[in-house]
Amino acid sequence: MELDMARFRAALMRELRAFFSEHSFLEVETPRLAPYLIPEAHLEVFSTEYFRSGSSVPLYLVPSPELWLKQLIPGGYGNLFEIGKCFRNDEQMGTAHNPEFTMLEWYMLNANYRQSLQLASDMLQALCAALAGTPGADPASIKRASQPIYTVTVRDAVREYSGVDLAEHRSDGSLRHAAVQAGLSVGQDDDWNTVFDRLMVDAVEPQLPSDRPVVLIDYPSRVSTLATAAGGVAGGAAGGAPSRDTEYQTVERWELYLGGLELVNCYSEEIDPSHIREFFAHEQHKKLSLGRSEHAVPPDFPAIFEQQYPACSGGAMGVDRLMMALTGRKRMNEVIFFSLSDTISRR
Amino acid sequence: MIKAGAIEKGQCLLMKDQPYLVTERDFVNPGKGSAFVKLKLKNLRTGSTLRETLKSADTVETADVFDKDAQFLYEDDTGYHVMDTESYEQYVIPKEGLEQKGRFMREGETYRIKMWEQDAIDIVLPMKMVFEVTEAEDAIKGDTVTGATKLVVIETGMSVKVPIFIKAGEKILVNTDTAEYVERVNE
Repeated sequence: MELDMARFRAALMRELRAFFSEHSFLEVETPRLAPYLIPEAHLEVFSTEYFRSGSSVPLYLVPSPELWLKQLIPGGYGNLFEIGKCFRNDEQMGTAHNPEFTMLEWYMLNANYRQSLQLASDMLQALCAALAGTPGADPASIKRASQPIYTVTVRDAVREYSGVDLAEHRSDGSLRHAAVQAGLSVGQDDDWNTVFDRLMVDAVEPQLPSDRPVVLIDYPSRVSTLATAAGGVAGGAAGGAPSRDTEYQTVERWELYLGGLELVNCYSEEIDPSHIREFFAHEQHKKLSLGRSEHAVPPDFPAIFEQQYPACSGGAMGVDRLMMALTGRKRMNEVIFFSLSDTISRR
Repeated sequence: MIKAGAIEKGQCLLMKDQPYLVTERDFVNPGKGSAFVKLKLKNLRTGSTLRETLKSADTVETADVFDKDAQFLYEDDTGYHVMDTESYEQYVIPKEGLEQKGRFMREGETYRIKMWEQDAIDIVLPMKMVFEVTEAEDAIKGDTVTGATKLVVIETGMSVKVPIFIKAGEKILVNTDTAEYVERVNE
């Protein structure tokens, strides 16, 4: 990382902290090592061991601080944020990926995903205003980041960029067929979720406006997450495979894209313990079927939500990608020190 | 057969019975979704370009490609002309996707090349190579900011961003994959 980039990064960190503390968020630091993790089917984990008087305890590097922050929320700390390293294994090192990366995660209490969206919009404005004159800032990138956010629902975006209406294709085969008609190549065994991912990757993401921040909002419930069902309707959040007769349902989730990079993922958080248990079971099962390594899950985690648990919205932002988006750099190893791909190649 | 997630740039794949060279590879993980590999491929027979998105877990057939040593003779519009150092047979390697490598090659020097059936299809450069700096502006006096950079020209005509203390006539180590300066070489 060049000097300008290092200085810009330091300034960005300072401004991020200033913004969140000015908005009454408490900065916390939680462990990187955990004896258990929230199961997420598509994430591979880093494993290690703690040696204690002859025996060893398996430990994992956290893929996000969600595990800890959600346990702090009922503790009366108010709005929380954390900036820290997160770890995702088996993620290929590419232009926008490093297995170890810096994430900013926030939780806003008594708020939903729309209020988090306003927060993210204000954050971009504040960062652009504060950092525009900092060496390393790319004027065109700063201008782009400070434009009003273009918000579009996932259903509308898929329809606009591929002609496929997700709501009309509820079975795997039907969506596969529609995707092929739209000119995409799909695998014979692709299920609904995989075809949906292909539509996002091959049709939607490459065609999103690139001159301003874009938010894709209201994701299909079939994409398994810990986001609440739209409008508080129960039953959608745990994902899984709803029957073919169910209507097209969405969850309260958005993702922000800037300069072609997926930057922020945000939910109205699921706080129904039964839905959280369903999510855990679904993800653990999926993890096994995908051949991912097994890990322990926090045994008491869903029970936290049986007590008075405040409605809240959480967002997670890739800070290294934000660096790229504000400095106009095309490769992550230009905005971090000692990227793993560089250090491995020098070994 | 290899997993799509293990595909590297420069690898050769058999797809739809055609040999393809991987010229670009990028990984995409849509939020909370499966991982995909986006590929840009060059058909080694027709030169045409194909874009393909594969699931990381998919398997793909590799094309049987082998290496040999060849001397780089010259380049022209048809490609890079090389000669097998054992059989003296000459080949032309099409430039598409190899432009950056071409800017690091010195005429008369021997490199590893990749062959598929009877065709030379790729050049393999060492990860890092030493080059002489042929043109460099002097650092401005008093400009002692560490980390500042400037552009210099190396012997092959390629421009490389280097720290300001590098002078013309010095030798530098360059990463041929990223075209980035690595370090100054003292001999």
